[in-house]
Amino acid sequence: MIDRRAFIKGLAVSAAAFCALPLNRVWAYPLPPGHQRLIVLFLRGGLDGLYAIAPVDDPLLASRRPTLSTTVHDQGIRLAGTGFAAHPSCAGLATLFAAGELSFAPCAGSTDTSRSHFQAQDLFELGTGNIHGPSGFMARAATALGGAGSAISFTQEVPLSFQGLNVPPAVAPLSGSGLKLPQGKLLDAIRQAHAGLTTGEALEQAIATETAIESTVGMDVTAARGAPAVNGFPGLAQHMGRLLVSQPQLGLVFFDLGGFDTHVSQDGILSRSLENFSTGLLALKDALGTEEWRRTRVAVMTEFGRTVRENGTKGTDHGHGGLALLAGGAVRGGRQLGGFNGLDDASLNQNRDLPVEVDWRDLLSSAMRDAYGFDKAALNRIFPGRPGKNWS
Amino acid sequence: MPSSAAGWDIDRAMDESTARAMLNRFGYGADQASLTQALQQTPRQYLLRAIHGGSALPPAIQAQIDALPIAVPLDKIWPDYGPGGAVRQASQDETSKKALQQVEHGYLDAAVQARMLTLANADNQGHEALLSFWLNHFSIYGPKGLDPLLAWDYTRALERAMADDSFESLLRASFFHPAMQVYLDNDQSTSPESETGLMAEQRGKPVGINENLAREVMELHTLGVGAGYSQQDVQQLARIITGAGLYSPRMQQRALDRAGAQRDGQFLFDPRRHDFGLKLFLGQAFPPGHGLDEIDRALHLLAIHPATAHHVSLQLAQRFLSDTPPQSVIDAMTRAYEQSGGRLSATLLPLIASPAFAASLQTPGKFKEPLDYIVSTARAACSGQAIGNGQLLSAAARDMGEAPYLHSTPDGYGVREADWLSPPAMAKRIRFAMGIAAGRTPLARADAVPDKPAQDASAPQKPAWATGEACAPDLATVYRLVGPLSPNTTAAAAQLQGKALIGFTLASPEFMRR
Repeated sequence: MIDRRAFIKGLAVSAAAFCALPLNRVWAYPLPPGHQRLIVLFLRGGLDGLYAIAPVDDPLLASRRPTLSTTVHDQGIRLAGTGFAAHPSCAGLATLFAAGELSFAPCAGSTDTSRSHFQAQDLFELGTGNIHGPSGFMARAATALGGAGSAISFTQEVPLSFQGLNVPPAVAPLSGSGLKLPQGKLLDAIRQAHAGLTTGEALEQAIATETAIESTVGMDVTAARGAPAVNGFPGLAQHMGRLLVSQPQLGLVFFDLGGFDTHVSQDGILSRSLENFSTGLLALKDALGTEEWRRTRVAVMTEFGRTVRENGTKGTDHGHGGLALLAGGAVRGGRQLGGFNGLDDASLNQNRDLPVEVDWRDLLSSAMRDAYGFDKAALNRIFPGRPGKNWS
Repeated sequence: MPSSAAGWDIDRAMDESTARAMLNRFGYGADQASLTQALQQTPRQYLLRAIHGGSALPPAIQAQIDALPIAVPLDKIWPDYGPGGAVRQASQDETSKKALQQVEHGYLDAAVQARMLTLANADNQGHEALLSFWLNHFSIYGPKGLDPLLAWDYTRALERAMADDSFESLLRASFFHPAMQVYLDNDQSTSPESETGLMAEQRGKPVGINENLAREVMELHTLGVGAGYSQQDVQQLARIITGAGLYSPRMQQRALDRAGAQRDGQFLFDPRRHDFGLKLFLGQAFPPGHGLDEIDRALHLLAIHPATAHHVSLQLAQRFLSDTPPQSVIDAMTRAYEQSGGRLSATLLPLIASPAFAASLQTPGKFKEPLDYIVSTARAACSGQAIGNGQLLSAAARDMGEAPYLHSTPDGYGVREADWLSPPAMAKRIRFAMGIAAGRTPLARADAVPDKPAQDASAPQKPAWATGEACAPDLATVYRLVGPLSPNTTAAAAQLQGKALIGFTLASPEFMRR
């Protein structure tokens, strides 16, 4: 295995060596055979899980949510044997559930009690139960997998979950102007100037990622000719899928979507966001193809759920327990994970929102153990202090 | 020369390296004119001018901003474009709805451009840096609802409040601006027991309280998360601030008078939506029967709260000193805030005067945020030339992820290295620097003429702003404005000359920090 730090420092000594950079080699961390892939999809803003997958058999649902439950009561798609139904905008999720490729936890979440987006997101991404700390759970998982070369983040910046690695993970924004760096003497000099600095680590990773992506998008240009512009998650998911197929060593993937903070007129906004999301999940499955999908797990989470009662402006406010999903060809789907005690006052958390029955760290560590065969010691390093329940 | 931290005298004129560092840290970067001006100031004068002084633009840039749609005052457009306004009412079919959206989009686009032009050309850089701080502290998302029309007016309102040298003024300017009411949904929050609430219930369309603004006012604008307030406090504040919202041109003046509504610009306090009951907020009783005056009272309580003093001090220190400012500096700022009742100058003086600040100007270590990088690069490259391509600046800011008014969540943009240093960030900065050095980036002026039809229709067409007049940076000037380079950086540049050397210097590790 190449020690990237030493590798980069060595390069700095001789600017001339840059021309002959074996760029692909920085990616060369093939996963051991049999290893699988985990994609963590984080929905920022606090998804209203009771809207997406609703407990339609609960007699209190209609009175708790006079406007927000009508569509799912009338047109929801039942998830067999669970008492829940998917909102029509989540038809894609219902399809995956029926195919045994999706499980859902209606009362999942973290130990957050602040109901602050920002504190709850930090808590989620650090994965330690604290709101401060030197590294995020994706960074610790990447370390356990052998380093940054096994991981990619489809975000604009390095998310908190990936912070704390010596070498930043590959960061490939799927929108915006991308990485394109002109090769040549000037770039070589800039690399040398930044060598050994945090800015240099980021620059080297940009160059390495660009090489990998260009090869993929290179194939893509012909395939996508005449296709509609990449727009929304379904389009991004196709790009993501194609990239992952061509880079099998990327076993650990992070992606986030925003737009779930729905305080007002939630019906229209959220049904569009969810449609975008669930169609995108199917697009990802499509782009990965049967074989890759079979070794894929997608964990979908959000920082908290929302109030059980709809508020005065046909929306919902910040709550506690929320929806988590495990999807993919590698998951044992078609199941509800963890309990749901109903919507009566006594069953709610602080008579306001759902309790947390499934800890996010347990869900993720179960997925990581199944995907990578991590042992207990490794999982304890990634998610210290988790309750330790198995959700395989 | 403040060579030792103890020798820092904030009443002595700045030397060149201090002035340059100050312009980067508490401004948007050095150009020749700014540097000359800062060399005649002491750090204290620089700070006080930032708070009390306005900032001027070159006449050509001012004329450009005056020609944008945002130059028309809000009360002129509100009858047409406000809630229920004439144009809005008339826009029922798809075509006219689209046209209305385009007008709104044009306003927001103009606001982003105007803000970028101001950052790049203003002569009082400290003033703009501080105003940006408050715009980010009280962040709004321009595309939401009516906010495209309101973003620029919001900027002006915060700028006027800044001259009061008081945090409470800023808090009030933000809270009582329709842009914030719209952004965090408070214009829709209505007490179910209020006149409007009861009427709605009778019609079978019940309304109620939305706690979005109440929570963020406490969490982000004042006390800070973890300051000890409870969910109960959030709900109580949400009740207190019911009735605050927007003036609609459809409202009858007589009905408003009868209801005792109070209007300030496009902000409206409507007692018919307010909750007049008893509240218990932050341990204090708010007796029944109070309206707008209890909002004033709640905001005052929040503004003078010790947790607010600490929260605001910490945020200022993180933006203007370091990602991890020394506790002693935060403590001194917090004390000064409390003793002065939240005066900005009093709170910032201990920061500027601290040995840590003096030392940090000698070795600037804070990773530039995208706006700092874009604007300081433009100022260094265009020194002496007006930077007139607002669309190009906006496009760069969007691409690098820090465009004004476009942060969707109310926490504002991050200020730490961890928030911004990433592989794509480096790629984009280097490309930006190279484009400027090569003369490919028309910072000075965009072509006014519309795009010529492309010869090959399938070839990607450049937007109009991508062609025009570039600045012609000169190496000696760029060296002076960037400042000393490390031996490693100097060694790496050995093979370069001319434009390449300018691009290299603008992409150097030293110029990525401030």
